[in-house]
Amino acid sequence: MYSIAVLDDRNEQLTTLIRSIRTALPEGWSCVQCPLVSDPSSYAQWLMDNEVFVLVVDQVLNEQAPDSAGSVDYKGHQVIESIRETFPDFPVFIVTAHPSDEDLSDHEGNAEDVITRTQLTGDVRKYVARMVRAGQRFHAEHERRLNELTELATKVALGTASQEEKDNLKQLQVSLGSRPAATVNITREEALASAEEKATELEDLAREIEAIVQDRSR
Amino acid sequence: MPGKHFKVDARAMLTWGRDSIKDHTTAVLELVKNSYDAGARIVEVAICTAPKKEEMPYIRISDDGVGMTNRQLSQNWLRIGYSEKLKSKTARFGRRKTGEKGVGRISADRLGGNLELRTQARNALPVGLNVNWNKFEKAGTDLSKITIPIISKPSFLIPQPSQFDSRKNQFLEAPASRRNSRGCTGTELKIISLRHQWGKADIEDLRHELSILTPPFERVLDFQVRILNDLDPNLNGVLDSPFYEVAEIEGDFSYSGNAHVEYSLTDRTEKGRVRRHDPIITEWTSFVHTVATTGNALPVNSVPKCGPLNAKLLFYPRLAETLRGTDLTVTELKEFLDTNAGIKVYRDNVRVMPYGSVGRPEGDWLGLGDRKARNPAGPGRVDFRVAPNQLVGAVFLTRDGNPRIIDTSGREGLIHSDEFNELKSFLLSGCLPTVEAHYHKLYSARKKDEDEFSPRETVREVNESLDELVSNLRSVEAELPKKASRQVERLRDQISLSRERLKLLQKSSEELASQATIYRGLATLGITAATFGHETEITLDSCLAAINTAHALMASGTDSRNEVLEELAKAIEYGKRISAWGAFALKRVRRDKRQKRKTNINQLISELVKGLKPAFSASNIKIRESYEDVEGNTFPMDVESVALNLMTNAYYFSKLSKKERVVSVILRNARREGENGFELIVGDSGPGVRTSIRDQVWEPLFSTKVDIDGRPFGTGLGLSIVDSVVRDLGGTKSIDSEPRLEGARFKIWFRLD
Repeated sequence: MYSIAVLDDRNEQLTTLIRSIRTALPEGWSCVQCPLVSDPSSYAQWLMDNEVFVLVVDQVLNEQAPDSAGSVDYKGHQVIESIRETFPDFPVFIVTAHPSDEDLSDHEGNAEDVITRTQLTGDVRKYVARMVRAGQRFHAEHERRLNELTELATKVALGTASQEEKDNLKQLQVSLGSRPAATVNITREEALASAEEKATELEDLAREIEAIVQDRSR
Repeated sequence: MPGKHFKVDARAMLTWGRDSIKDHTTAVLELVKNSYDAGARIVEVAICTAPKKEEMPYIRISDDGVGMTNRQLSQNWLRIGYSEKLKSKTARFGRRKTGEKGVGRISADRLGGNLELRTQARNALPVGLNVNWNKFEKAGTDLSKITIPIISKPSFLIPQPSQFDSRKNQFLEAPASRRNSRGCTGTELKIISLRHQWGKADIEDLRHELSILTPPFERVLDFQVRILNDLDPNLNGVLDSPFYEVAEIEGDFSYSGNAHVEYSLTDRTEKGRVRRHDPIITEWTSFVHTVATTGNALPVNSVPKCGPLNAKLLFYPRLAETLRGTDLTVTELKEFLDTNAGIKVYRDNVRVMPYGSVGRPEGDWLGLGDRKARNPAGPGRVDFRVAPNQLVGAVFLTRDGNPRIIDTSGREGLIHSDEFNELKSFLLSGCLPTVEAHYHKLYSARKKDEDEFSPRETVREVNESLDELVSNLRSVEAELPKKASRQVERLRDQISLSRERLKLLQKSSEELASQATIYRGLATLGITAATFGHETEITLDSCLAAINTAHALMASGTDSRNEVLEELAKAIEYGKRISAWGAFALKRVRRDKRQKRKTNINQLISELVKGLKPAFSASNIKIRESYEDVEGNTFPMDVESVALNLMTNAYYFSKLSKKERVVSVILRNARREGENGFELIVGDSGPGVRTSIRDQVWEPLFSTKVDIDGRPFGTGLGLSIVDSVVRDLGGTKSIDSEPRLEGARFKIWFRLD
C-alpha cells in the first residue's frame, strides 16, 4: 500500500484535503495525515517508516499559538528543504491560499507544484493522478536503488566488489539516507576473523555465567 | 684620526628644496610655518607682480618673530639639516615648534632664484644674506665652496599685528610697520627671480591655504597671517572668517588619553541665540561604537594608544535658517563651505596636509561622501548622516601627546597605523554620530512644534479669547464716558465680524478635518485589509475547497453522507466569516461616522473588536476586553481608526511571541489637566517596543515588522495615523510595557466635549 500524506496545522483544512484526495485515489493508494513535529528533520524518516511516497504540505504552518498542540515555527518550504537533504527527489506538493507570496516564489522550484486548495479540490482527479505518477516514479527509483544497494552489499560481503562498486555503494547509501557502512572496505577474511573473535568472546562469557550460577546454587 | 669625510654636492640643495616641495603654495606655507616657529605674532605675505620701475616681481614674507643673530645665522640657518626645534621644542607663546627636518628654509628656492634674507634679533646687530639658488645647480661643485654674499647693515620693515574689533567682528586696518632695531625683532625674506607667474587664482589659493593653516576655531590672535598683493585688493588683509560663529551645532570633543571622553555641544535656537549644553563625560568604549573599517580591529575593551585628542566639529545644514540673526547670505555660506568643509588635522596648531582639503580625493579621509551616499537619510530620520559639505571640523594633535601618530616622510599625511585608525574611530564612530544625533533631535523637536499646530484647537482658543474680550468689554462699559459709547459699539461690531469670519474659518477647517478623517479611515482600512487580507484569502480558499470536496464525495457514490454534511457546514461557516469581513469593512466608512457627534464609545470599540475576533481566533489570539461606559461628542471614524491601527499592530506582534498570544483592550473614563476625556489602552504579549525607538515609531514609514525570513514589510503608516488623529483631536499618546502580558502597551487619551 502506497500513501500520500497531508501536512497542515489546521485540522479543518487538513480533513477537507484528505477527504478530497481520497475520492480520487486509485487502488493500492491511501491518504493519511502527517503529524506536525517540532523538528523538521524528522519528516524524512517518518515518510519512509510509513511508506509515504508523496507529501502534500500547507505553506503556512506557523499560525498556531506556541503553547497550543501542533505549533511550529517553520513554513512548508522549509519542510521540503529538510526532506531534500535525505531524499533529493521526493515528490512534494505545496498547498497555499496565496501562491504569489514572496518567500514562496524563492523556493517554488523545490516543489512538484504550488497550488491553492480550491485548485486541488476543484480538479482533484487531475492532481491526484499527478501525485500518484510522481509517487510511483519515486518509489520505482527508490526500489531500484535499494536493489542495487543489496547487490553491491552482497558483493562487498563476499569480497568480490571492485573499488568502483564500493564507491557506488557509498553513494547509494547516502542517496538512500543512510550512512556509508564502515564495513564497505573490509575483506571477507577480515569480516570472518572478526566474527570468530566475537563468537569466542561469547563462549567465554557463557562459561563465566555458568560458573557464577553453579557457585550460587551451592 | 685619519679618515675620509662626506662631501655634499651643491645640487643636493635642489633635492631638498625645489624638488621636494610640491608647489609654490606649499613653499610659502613652509616659510610661514618657520615664522610661526620663530614665535611671530604676525606674518605678512606680500606678492608683488608689477613693482615699480627697475624692480622685478617679488614675494616678501616678513614676520615679527625672534629673528636671528649673526652666530645663529651662521651656525644654524646655514647648517643644512640643523633644526632649532630639536634643541628647544617650544617657541614663544608656548607654541610647539613644527618640523624637525631642518630643510624648510630651502623652500624659498622653489619660489624664486634669489633670496634676500634680513633678520634682526633682540639686542643684536641685524644680519642679512643674499642667496642665489641658481649657483647650486652646477654639478660637481662642493656645497661648502659656494659663497653667499652678506648684506651689510640690513634694514627692513617689520609688520605689526592687526587689532580685532569684537563689536564689528572684523580686523581693524593694519598698523604701520616698524623699522627693525635692537628692540624690534623679526625676519624678512624677499624672493625675486620668481619661478612662477602669480595670478589671481594663485593668490586665492594661497589665501585659502593660509587661512586654514592655523586653528580657525580659536580665533588664534597670537598668529595672524596677512596677505598683500597687487592683483586684487579684495584679497588683501588678515585672514579670518565670520562663519565660524554661525554653525548650527558646534561640538567640542576631548579624549583624555586614558579611556575617558568629555564633550559638549552648543547649538543655536530658532532666534539665533546660542545655547550651550552641559558637558558629558563618558568612557571611550561607550563613545566609540564601532571601529574604523580600515586598518586593524580594536578590541572593545582596550584603551586606545593614540594619545589625547581634541576635536571640534561645526555643522552647517546649508539652509537660510542657519544664518538667522546674521547678515550673511546663503551664497556666502555655501561658498565658505565649498572652500572650507572637511575635517582637518592640526599638529601643534599647524595644519597636516592633505586631511580635509576640499577638491582633493584624499581630503575626504574619513569617507564622509561615501558614508552619506550609502545612507542619504534626512535629519528627520534617526539614522541621519551629515554630508561632507556640511561639516567644518578639526582634530588637534601634539607631537608630545601623540607620538604614535607619525608623519610620513613626504611632508604630507600620517602613517596609517593602529593609532591613526583610533583617531579615525574617535571622529567617525564617536564625534560625528553625536553631532548627527543632536541635530536629529533638534530637527524633530522643531518639526513637532510645527506639526502640533491644530486648526481645531486654534479656532477654539480664538473663540475663547473673543468671549473673554466681550466679557471684559461688558465689565468696563459702565465706567466709560458716554462719548466712548460709539467706539464701544464699533468694537462690538468688530468682534461680531471676527466671530463670523471665524465661523467660516471653522467650517472650512472642519471640512478639511473631515476629509482628513475620511482619508485616515480609508488608509486604516487599507492597512487592516493588508494585515487581515491573508486570513480572508485563506478562508475563501478553504470555503471553496470544502464545497468542492462535498461535491466530489457526493459524486463518488460512496456512503459518505456525514462527511458531505461536515464539509458543507465548514463551507457555510467560512462563508459567514467572509461576509462578516465585508460588512466590517463597509461599516468603517459609513457617512454618519465622519462627523463629530455624540457617541457611545464603548459600543463603538466593542463592535470593532467583535468584528476582528474571527481573524484573531484563527491565529489563536485571545482578546481580553474591559470597557467602562464612555459617552461624549467625538469623531467616531477617528476613534475607530486609532483603535483599528492599534489592534492591527497588536495582531502582528502578538504572533511573534513564544508565549500565549493575548491582546488586551481597555476603555475607561479619564480626566487630564481638568478636562474630561477617555483613555483607550491596547496591550499585547509580543516582544514590546524598545525604549530607544518609542519616539520614532510614530513617524511615517517607520516600521520594525519583518517576515519569517527577516525581510522588512509593513506600510509604516498605522501609528503615524494614530499620531495624526491624536494631534487633531487634542489628545495624548504614550508607549510602555504591558505589565502582565509583557509586550507593548499603547495608551491614547482623547478629550471629550
